[in-house]
Amino acid sequence: MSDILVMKNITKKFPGVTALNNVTFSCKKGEVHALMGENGAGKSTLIKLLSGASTPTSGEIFFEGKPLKAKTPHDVQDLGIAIIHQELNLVPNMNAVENIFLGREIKNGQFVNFKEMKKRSQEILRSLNIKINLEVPVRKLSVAQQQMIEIAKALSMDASFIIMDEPTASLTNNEIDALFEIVCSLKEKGVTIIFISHHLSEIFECADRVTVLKDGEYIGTKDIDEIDESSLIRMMVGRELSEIYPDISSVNKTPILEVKGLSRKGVLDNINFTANKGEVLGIAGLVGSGRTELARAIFGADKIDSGVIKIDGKEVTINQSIDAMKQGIGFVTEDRKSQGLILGLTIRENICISLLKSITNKAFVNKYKEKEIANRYIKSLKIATPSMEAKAVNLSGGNQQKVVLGKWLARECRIIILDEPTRGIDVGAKVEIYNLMRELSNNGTAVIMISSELPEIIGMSDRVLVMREGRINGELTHEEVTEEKILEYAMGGCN
Amino acid sequence: MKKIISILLMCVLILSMVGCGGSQDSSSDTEEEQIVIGLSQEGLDHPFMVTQREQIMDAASKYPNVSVIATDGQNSVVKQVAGIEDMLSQGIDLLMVQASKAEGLKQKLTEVHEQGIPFMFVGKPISGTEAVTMVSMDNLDLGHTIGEYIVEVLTDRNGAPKGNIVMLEGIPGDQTSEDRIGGAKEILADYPDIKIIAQVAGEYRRPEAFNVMQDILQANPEGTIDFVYACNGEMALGVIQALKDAGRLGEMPVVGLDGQKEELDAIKAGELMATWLYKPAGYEGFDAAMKILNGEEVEEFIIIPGQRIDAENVDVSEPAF
Amino acid sequence: MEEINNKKNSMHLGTYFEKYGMLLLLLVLFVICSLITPVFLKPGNLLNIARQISIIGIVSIGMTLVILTGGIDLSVGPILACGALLVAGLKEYGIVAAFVGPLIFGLCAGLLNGTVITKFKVQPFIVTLGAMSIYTGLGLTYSKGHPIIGTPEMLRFIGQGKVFGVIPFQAILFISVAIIIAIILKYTPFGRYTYAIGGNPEASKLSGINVDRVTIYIYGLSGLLAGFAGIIMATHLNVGEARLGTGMEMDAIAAAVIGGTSLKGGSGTIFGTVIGILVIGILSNLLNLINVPSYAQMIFKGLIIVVATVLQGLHDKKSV
Repeated sequence: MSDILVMKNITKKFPGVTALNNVTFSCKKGEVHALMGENGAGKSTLIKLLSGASTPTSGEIFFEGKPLKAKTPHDVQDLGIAIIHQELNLVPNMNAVENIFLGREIKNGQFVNFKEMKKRSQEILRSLNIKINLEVPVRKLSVAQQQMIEIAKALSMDASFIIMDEPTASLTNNEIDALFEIVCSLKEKGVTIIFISHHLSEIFECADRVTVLKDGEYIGTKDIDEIDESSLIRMMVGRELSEIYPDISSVNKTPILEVKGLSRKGVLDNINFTANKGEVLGIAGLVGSGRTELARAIFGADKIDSGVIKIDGKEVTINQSIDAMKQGIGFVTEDRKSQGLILGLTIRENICISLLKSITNKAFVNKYKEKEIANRYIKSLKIATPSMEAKAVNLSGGNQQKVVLGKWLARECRIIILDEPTRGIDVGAKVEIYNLMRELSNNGTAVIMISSELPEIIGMSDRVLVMREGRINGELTHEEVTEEKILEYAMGGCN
Repeated sequence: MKKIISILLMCVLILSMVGCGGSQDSSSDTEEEQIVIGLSQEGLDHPFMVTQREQIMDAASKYPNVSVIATDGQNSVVKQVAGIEDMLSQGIDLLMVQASKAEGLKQKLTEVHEQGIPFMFVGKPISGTEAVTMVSMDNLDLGHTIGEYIVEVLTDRNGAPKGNIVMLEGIPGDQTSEDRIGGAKEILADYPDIKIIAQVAGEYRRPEAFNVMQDILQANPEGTIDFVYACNGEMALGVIQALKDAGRLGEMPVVGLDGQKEELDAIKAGELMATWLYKPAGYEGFDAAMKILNGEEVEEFIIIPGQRIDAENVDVSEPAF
Repeated sequence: MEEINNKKNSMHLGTYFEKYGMLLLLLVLFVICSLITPVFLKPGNLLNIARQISIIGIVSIGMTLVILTGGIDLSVGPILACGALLVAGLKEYGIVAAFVGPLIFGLCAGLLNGTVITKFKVQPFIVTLGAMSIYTGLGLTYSKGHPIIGTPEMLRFIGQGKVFGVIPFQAILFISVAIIIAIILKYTPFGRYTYAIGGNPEASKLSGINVDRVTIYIYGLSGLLAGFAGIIMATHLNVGEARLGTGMEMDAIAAAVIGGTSLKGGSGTIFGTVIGILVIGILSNLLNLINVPSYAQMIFKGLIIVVATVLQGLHDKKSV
């Protein structure tokens, strides 16, 4: 098999950051090639170079033996390359057919030929063994179905080379299986696929070869049958799994937060649990099982229909976020960019935003105190920044997450809820955040961690609650928790 | 880099703009005993005001030692005041003001007066200020004239002064509209058989007049309307359009007031019966201004008589604007 | 290595430009103006400009606050006009009523805007568009469509007074308002919340900021400032009229945008808005001085707004 794509000695620099350093990567015609690495490893940057969205600082790219000169998405399409981005690029109010042929409508004179478009769409979907309602707007379809439409769109352009950027990130297991079937059938058609993921198990199911990047450096390329899971982790992370998570603590645990009969119509159904001082309580479950909704309900961000929240044994009323904050609850949201940070403000302003009232001096913010607080948390959280006056938008994911954490630590929270605290941040920062969480719990804080990453849940939690369809479907101690058990509770199973 | 280019571009634009403006200015600076007249108009978005400015500029061009500088308020009192101030900064010998309502200007005009600069109104008369004169038509008088004309036409049509008439006023409460409509009504009050079956507001605008006339035509079947009086030209044209749409053109006479070019065309086409010229008073105003500057006495009100345009004289008449 | 260094320098130049670009444009404009016509630099003319921009300047400051939260307030013009009407209309009830009445009206009108926007989750554009019509209608009803002539003698200093016999008192009021609001924005929690809400309402809410309350206060403040500007307007012209504020919202938005306030919310300064209003004021003064009709003035104002937004667009791209 010949190499369809060769990227030679690619270096890409952004001001202050080297995103890719002398990376060489090649892809054979007709293979499924997994591109792996933690977030920040440089995968997205590599893809952007292929999409024509940016050009390398140095190095060369050859596609089918010729230098790649694509400047726009259109040029790339013409070469037969299709990229399916993590954030799907569908028009929500259009149906599948309209989306598949968006911008390339089949015309009958001056008019769009819907009949022909529909026929062609059906052919493509049938060849992939996909059944989708073509009439409804795509926003009414599941994420998985939308992704299949993206794939169909790629095929409708006669793409011979498809790049999938973390296609499984928001899919359920069944959907992932269906996706893999499609990947296999694409491969049979002779389509070359680059499959980006950081889920190990997936790679072994469908990939022929795997290339690992780490911190912008090329680590290596292996055939899938010459490598196993733990050596792949070592390549990605640069250290053993056991070194990542801090030891489980042995601090005395007394209940601080008790939730009884908490319900919110259609989302949460009779939730009961207790969180203790000094422990990390993991909440696992599939996306959409109500984990985030539970956190928001406790934090007062969403109204609840019924239920009681007790703190230190006393019932409290939480109608809005400020009530929860007054009880010493902090909430590090899942999506730090849209919910956690105010990107246009500085680190100092972000850290101090929720305690301004307590550091005012005759209506004016006490700048001296504010700087002192910001400084303290920048130091203790090791936030890498030239100055506390840097805007949050300019920080890396890990540092942004630390700023959000800093905001709550500055309020000296007794209960801190973290929703996907390590999503999208590199492994070094992850370890720092794990250590921080453990440090907090050792100091008597109740840490509640919601996560989709099972190794993280298993590695960090003293106890694990597993949610399913708005209910807590099972509780596991650190000793009894395994991936299988979590999945069993998360996907169904008995109570 | 782009940023610098944009800013440079901006500067070039300003300079070029200023270049054309500046040349006008410098030509007038060289003469000895230069007289500068300031013209402040409420806006420039109506042919009336544009024609007025053109007339004044044209009249001034015949005097080499007179230059006119003009600003307009873009229909905002605040901007009109600012324009007057800017002209005062440059130094003017006399100020001509055109405004529909002068209340907001009074304060500033008093200051102008106190500075010893004479000012006068053109186009629309406004009372209660220190203005040396006001040169304009008289709307109330025009209203009377039109009232008499209505009586005359209806007597011709129906054998006696009787019939149903429709009146389109401008903006309710606007003085011009009140005078133009009110003047006619004062005359008609003496004729009990002339009934005003509808008096509605057309906002001085063609589309609004078209809409209200359509409604009136719906409400009043063929043969029940004997006359339509629209108190400005635009509205008269809207009325004609509505009549055309309803296929009832020619059923009743329509008159307007203003004498804008399209009205004259409509008279030629036999669609409009008559209109009265409402002159922007530019030439007349400038003559009065020159008299003031030469120290001659002028009357407090200089009223320009209205002139009726109808089928007989339309071919030899110039539109008001 | 060299390349990186260069980049750093040019970035510094870039940020320098973002910060002071508009100030530079203002200075360039100033120099050009004084070269073109000697009248421009006459103290009388400069003081005229200061006066001419004061009223709209105060309205623009309120508008800037609203835009900072990611909103817009189209109803400032009619609120100003109603304020002016009240000054003239309430004069029989004494100067306190004539002064406080417009302020209370402006405040309440603004608070009402804010309340509808936050409690019913309606877009500010729509709410204030409706409010614009409502307050115009209220003003016309109150005044029966006629101007109300005459303002209390003792209040006239506000609009007509001159400090040391030369400096218009209006201009001093404008500068004071600008300084006070700038201090509030910069040094109080309320100010910080204003930026935070505009930057990310959801994150602000989850940080314990009472987003609704702050938003309502901001609209209240905008209304209050419009009412205050109405007092100045009425005492300046010695008349109240229901259509005095027509078109003012657009000028105020223009000033804010030219001054670098992002319509997306979350970024902008009062200083910028003051620059913006100066640019508009000086430009229209210049065009008046050199006898260019208003058509060209409109073209120019439009161009400046677009160019300012383009500059902002470049700035936005850079920072992402």
